[in-house]
Amino acid sequence: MGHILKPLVRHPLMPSLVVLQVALACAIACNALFLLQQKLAPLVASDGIGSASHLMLLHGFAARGTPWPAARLRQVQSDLRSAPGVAGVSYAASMPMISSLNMNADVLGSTGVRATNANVYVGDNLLDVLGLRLIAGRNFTPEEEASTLHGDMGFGHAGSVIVTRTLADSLYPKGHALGRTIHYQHAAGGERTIVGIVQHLMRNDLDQRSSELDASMLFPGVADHWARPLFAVRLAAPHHGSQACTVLLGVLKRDLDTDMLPGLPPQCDAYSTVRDAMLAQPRAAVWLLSGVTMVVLVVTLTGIAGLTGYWVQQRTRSIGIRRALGARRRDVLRELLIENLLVVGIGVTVGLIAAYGTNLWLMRHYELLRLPVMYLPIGAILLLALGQLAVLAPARRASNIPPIVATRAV
Amino acid sequence: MSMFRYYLQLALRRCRKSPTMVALVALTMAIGISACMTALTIFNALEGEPLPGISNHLYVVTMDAREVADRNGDDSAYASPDSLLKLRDAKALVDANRAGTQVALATSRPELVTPDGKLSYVVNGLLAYGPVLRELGVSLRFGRPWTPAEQSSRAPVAVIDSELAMKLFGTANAVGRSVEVNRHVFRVIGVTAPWKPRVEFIDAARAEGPGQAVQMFLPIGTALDVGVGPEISGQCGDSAINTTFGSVDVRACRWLEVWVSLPAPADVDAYSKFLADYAGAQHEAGRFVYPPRATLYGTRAWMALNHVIPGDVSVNVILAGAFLMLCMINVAGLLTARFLRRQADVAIRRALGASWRQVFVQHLVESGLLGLIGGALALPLTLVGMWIVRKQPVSYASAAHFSSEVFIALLVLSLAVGMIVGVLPAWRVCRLSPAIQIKQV
Repeated sequence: MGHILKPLVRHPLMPSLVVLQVALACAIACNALFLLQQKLAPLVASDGIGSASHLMLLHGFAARGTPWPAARLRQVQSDLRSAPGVAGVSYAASMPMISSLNMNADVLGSTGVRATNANVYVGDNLLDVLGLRLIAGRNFTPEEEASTLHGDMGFGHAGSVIVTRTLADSLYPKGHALGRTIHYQHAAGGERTIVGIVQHLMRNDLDQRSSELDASMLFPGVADHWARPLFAVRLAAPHHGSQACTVLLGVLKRDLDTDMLPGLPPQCDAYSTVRDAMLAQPRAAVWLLSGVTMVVLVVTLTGIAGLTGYWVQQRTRSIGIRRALGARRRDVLRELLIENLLVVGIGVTVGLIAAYGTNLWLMRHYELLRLPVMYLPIGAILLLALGQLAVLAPARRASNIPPIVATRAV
Repeated sequence: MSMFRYYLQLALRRCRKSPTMVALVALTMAIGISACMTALTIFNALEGEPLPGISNHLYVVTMDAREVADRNGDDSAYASPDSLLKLRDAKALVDANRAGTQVALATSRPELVTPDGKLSYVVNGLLAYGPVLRELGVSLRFGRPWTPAEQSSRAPVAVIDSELAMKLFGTANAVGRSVEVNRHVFRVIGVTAPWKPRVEFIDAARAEGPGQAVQMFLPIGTALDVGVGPEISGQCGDSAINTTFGSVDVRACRWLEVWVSLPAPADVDAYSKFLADYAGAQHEAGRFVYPPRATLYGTRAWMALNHVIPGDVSVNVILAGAFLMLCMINVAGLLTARFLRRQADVAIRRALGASWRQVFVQHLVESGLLGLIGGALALPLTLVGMWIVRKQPVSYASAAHFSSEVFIALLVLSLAVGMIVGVLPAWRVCRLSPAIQIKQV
């Protein structure tokens, strides 16, 4: 071990440059990978929507002045329902993949102490129209669906609720969530009974912790005097072209035209279009961050390789002497790999501390989430492997130094 | 100077001898510099005064002016200061006339109809109570602002910008023309030069990113008379659900911001005192149900508090800065190796009488040259970086624009990077003892 350490201590410039580089690369890579994972989560998670090609959304419009009473929007809903080719219509206050309207609450189970932040979708006929997969319990009854919600959007009183499996598991970790109740951490409102559990339903604010991405729930009933209503329309057949939209927008214009706020024309889009638009930003960020991470790693790789190359060349003579004294090629190779492991290991240790510190600082200033500890070993292994890869070529070259070199003047 | 030229020649000759090495060093620097330039350009466009020379004197009034106790007892939304006021309080503060100038403002999107009734436009408007043009430094091209008399008599007058005037009337001088807003006829009394803040700052709690041009200014009283309301009705009653768009329940809602201009620091203290007294009196009279905590915020403090610069942008700057540092350490290492490989040349130069200073400068010139080559490579890379940002679906995409300032910054940055990166290797090589080196040759 002594003959590995000694040269490092005697000529500290080269190794310390490697340490610095590795530390910095490690800090950047850990934080970039963490950001990357956060942006990636909604792209790879299931949104819960069944046969999405049948689903259309009417959105983007708002009431001019006093918002519409629930009865009027129910009428629009039934007019849309009777349009040709329509299998089902939901009138809702918020929808998946439309982030302009978001409702969420910190909810607790009857036995729980730690709240889970859950997204709330309030609307009529949502389960069927969105095509959610019910894995336990039942859908809302027609009586529950017929209710009209005033100012508090149903947070104020008791009733039933359908939750996603993720939310059910986090409220009742031991299972048996069905039939149990939920209540809210901050609001004094009524308890709701879980009547159904759906497999997935993504929330519409994607900046949440990825573990809460699928924590959603449905309230039955429709909102009264809601300024920005949304309609989801399930077609009998997959949509083609703009024909369905022409019909649907026609109904909407006929029913609401002069009462809509000018400048915000109603939009009719296939669900997949709205989804793509919502996910465009995380998708772009994923490309950007993976590009950054790749470049950081490549730069580090060339840096370590370049420095080690020089470092080995410097010691050609002493390596030749060691070979002449009986060290095998394998020994030389192994020693250089161990040396690199040592130097990169120091760099990684410094880097991990820096990564964690940076994350704490970013958390305080930019509302970032806490870096999970899991990322630290991942970053460490990545950098250590990269170091070994970078040193391979120079080490191979060094092990090929013939013993005869020792006898020559270099 | 002649030595400098000689060093430059030496550096060029050496660069020609090892093109791969030069390419690697320059490219590494170029990638770091261009990443940094791209991130900094966007940050710089969003950072700073929204109205240079004007917004540094502007302050926004904040207080907890809720008149109804929160039903849920949920105060989390009010932990940070709130700038929304009811029309009644906003008017009282403006009419008190205790600052240099003061106005109450709300953003609005009124619908205009052309005189022939054929076309309609939805424009970016600002509803104002008070001398809005003077306070925000909006310059008039034609006509005049509205008078206090017109404001109090609720005269149907409007001020529009010259671009809207061109669009509606085909001429910039639209003074005296009529424009229909929400089916009511308004007389254009003034035409402003196109005006937009660099960054959004009015209603900062909701706005973010680059500023938008204000095409129309309307007096609040008149606008409310004809049914033109703010873009969003703000906070109404005891829950967030009662929000409406394009209209407002004046009695129930808090929807206006009061901005005051206070050029001297002493004015700020005096006005803060006045504000605290006003809010305190309302609280004691039982109108404001919570302790009002009235506070003035300067424009930039207010923008920072409300995260007008998206967090992504700042994080990207930090990421890019760290990346540039990584590239610089990398290049410093490569240059050290490159310089030390030529120990023999240096030793001979030293033996022939060159001082260590001259050796140092010679190597610094070489690394500076490499920095410039890196900068030249960074230019197209920066353009590519900005192009990528413009393609992104983000609110600040339009901020990524190349300008002469960016070019100069790029030049300075690359030269500085080249020099800084060269200091360590040049220092290392010039401190070698010539005698030992020569022996080894």
